[in-house]
Amino acid sequence: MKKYKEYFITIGLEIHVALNTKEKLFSSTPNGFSGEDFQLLDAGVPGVLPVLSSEPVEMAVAFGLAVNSDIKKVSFFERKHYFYPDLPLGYQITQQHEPILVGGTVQIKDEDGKDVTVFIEHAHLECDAAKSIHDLYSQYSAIDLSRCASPLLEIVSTPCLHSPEEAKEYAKRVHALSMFMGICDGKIEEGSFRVDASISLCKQEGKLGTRVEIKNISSFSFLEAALQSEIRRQADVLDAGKLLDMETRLFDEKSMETKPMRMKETVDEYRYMPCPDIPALIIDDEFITDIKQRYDISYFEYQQKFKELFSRFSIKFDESLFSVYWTDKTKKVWKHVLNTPSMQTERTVRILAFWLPEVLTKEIQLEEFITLDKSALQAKELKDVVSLWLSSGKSIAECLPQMMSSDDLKDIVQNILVQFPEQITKYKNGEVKMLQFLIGKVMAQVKGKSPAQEVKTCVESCLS
Amino acid sequence: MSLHEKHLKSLEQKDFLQTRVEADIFKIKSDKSGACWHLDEVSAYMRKSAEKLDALTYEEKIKMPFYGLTVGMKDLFCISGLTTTAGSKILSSFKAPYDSTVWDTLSQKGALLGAKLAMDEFAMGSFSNTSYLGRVSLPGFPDRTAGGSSGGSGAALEANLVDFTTGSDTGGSVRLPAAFCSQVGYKPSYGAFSRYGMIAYASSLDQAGLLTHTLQDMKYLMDSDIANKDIKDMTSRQLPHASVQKSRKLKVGYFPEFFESDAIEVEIKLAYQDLVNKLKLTHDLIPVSIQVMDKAAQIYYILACSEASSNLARYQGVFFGEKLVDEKFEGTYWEQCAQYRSKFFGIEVQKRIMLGSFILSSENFSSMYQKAVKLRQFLKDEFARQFQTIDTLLLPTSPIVAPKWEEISKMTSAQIYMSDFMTVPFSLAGLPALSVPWYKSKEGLGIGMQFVGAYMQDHQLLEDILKIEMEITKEAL
Repeated sequence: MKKYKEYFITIGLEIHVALNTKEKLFSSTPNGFSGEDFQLLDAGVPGVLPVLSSEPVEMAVAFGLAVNSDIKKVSFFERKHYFYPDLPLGYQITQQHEPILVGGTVQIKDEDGKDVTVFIEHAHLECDAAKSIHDLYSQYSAIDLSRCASPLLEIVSTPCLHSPEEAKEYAKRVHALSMFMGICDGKIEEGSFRVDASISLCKQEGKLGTRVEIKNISSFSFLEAALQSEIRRQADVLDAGKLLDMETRLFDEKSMETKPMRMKETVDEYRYMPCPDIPALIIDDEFITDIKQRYDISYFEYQQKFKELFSRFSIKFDESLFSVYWTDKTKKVWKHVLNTPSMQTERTVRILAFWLPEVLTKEIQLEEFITLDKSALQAKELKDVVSLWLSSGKSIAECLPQMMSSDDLKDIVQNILVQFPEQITKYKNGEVKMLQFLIGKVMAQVKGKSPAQEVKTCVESCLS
Repeated sequence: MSLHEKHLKSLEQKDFLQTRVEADIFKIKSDKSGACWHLDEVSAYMRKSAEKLDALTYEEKIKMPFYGLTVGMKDLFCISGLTTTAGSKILSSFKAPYDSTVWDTLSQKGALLGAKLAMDEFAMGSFSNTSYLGRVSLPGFPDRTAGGSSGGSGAALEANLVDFTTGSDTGGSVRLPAAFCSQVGYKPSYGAFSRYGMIAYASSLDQAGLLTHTLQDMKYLMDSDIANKDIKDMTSRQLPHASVQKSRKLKVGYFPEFFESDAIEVEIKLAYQDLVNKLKLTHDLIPVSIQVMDKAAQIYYILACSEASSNLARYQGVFFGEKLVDEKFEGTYWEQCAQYRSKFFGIEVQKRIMLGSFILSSENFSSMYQKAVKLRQFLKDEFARQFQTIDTLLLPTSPIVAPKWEEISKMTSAQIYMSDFMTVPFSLAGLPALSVPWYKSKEGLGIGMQFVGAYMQDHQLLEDILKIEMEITKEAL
């Protein structure tokens, strides 16, 4: 929908990524949504000063490297002022004017499958606000400080998107990237990944109309829906020969339409001022080299490799599930698999992508994985073994079921083969896939108590 | 008796502090200058701390250079559990939940809290007359101000209520009361003392400072390793130790234009000239003129008010201080906020918040704020250039001696602001400056002479002034 009626569509997105850091942006308070723990700075107690944590800066730089941003050697923090009960300091510490990242690109496919480059205008670090809670007490509102001063990376795209589908694709891409890099938990419903959109319609191609901002978008499909409904609304206004207001609107999930925000102030006057408590943020080459080693910045490369690997075994690859396939607990193994063609089997991919993530609660090492991979365990048994491994503290090898002797195996194979004379005939007549069928039958009986290769050899020798 | 002597003497006597505390409390309660606040709370705290300190062993006490000494803390340094108001009604119920670094350092070294000291509201003022808790007058001159904003810090020392005091200096707030109260007042290089726990007025200018009776006392404090880089304040720096070259001729910069200036009172000009003449006998006196210095007060007020409007934005009655509770109020949050701030902030503070908000508005930001930032940098560079050839700059601390309350009431804001023109340049440049009380007016009012050093050369500056003091005879005009 690059064009709606006679109007060209232009969209830009502001994405707020809640960085998954251990500490808050300017205090050593643990960064988390559950903690009742807050520090004096978070409540704006007089005299307490902000001290910049390193990890949010590292994550911002890592993101910048992944999208090829210009990483600024010198950037500055400033104060953005407004009065609101959930902003204890009376200002937000942000980087609107001299941000840490400038430029950058993200490749997406549009609805016709064509490659589209999305340009990032800049990305900056800033503090999240606290949360007002109005339904806890009947007479009062409450302020939850647990999220206050948590680090956000705000990624601002240029107005270079031309359809709701493109906008959604781009947002999903950034989401997948952030999760892949481990800089965000990606929980959209909890506000860890927030998207604001601005959109304008214009009859002339390449020109911008009146810009309207949409907030309160809580899922990717709502993003698409919000933009679609806003396009229709704007077109109706313009069709009627009226002018649009430059305004901020909220998306209403019930009506699936955008609604005007309660008028707060007509013009935003944030009285930006350099933050005198925080010296210039200096990033040197050494820092960048370190980040390159410690973060997975080659998302797009990995993503491509994944896609190829999945398609080789005709497994459907869903990018939005990437972070399910690829977790902190499995990524070391994945990296090895992606770089080691001999390990790239359908079984390996299935174990890593589908079987393990469900049960794994701690990181699995390569040797441990190889033990699992080589075993004859099928999905259910494999999960049982992993659960036992996690709870018992034994090694994986010790958790594997007792191996049967080759004589026992031979007995089972012969018992099974006699049940399938038809299939054996077909096999002997050259229908090779029947072998796989027979092996499957045996495997189900063996329940992982014999290595797959041994089962195969045994079946083959009994057939010949 | 010097601080060092007092400390040594205190080591000889068992329960030294507990014995002296009662006399101290009596003195403070009889004081008429208005220098000390929260008397009952501080007395109780003093008694408790004195007991604890006295219980230490001799070996422990001897390691504490400030054992036996009382310190008066300006009421904007957070001291855990104690009311800390910064002179503002908006913080009248604020009990600090933590210790400021300055207090932590002093108390670790054995100093006993002797008083919480009066000040202008949020350190905004030159005469200690903007706080809801009352004004501070010059001891012995009840009709005159003790100076501000650290008025309590000057007056408490002049009245001998405590052994030494802390203050904060944003544009002259330590040096001015030191001059009026005839004490030594030291504003360190910006960053030398941590700002952690010091309630902010204008963060890029605020510096904790010290006041003592004598330069020797100041040296005793500074030699006790109290200025260190603090990880809780990103703008703090480590002060290097002095590379003292004792027997040398100093290059002293002075401002000949001030001998003629109409903005400076005659007695002060004469004192200045006298000192310059005396120094000429042994040192190289170099006339200097600093470009843009005549704009320093304007630059200062633009930046200070902007930062103040930002730093004070947190006072909305939600998290601390006086509470925003008016159950009958039916307006919006913003209307309630406005009402609250109008009620609890004093007039001077409101004036500076308004000015700062105006300056920071998108309309004025570049023509006022950014211009002031540029000029400030220019001034910094000018001073840096001068200090390549000179050791110290000498000028009076204030163009006036302590004025009478009735004179102050006739001054306009602009007149009051402009009277800071000899202290603000060095705040803007972040340079160390000391005001020394070598002169008195005919009426017996203090005249301070200000020595300014190169950035971070605080120890060297102090050594240089001590050397000068030894050479010249102290005498009244």
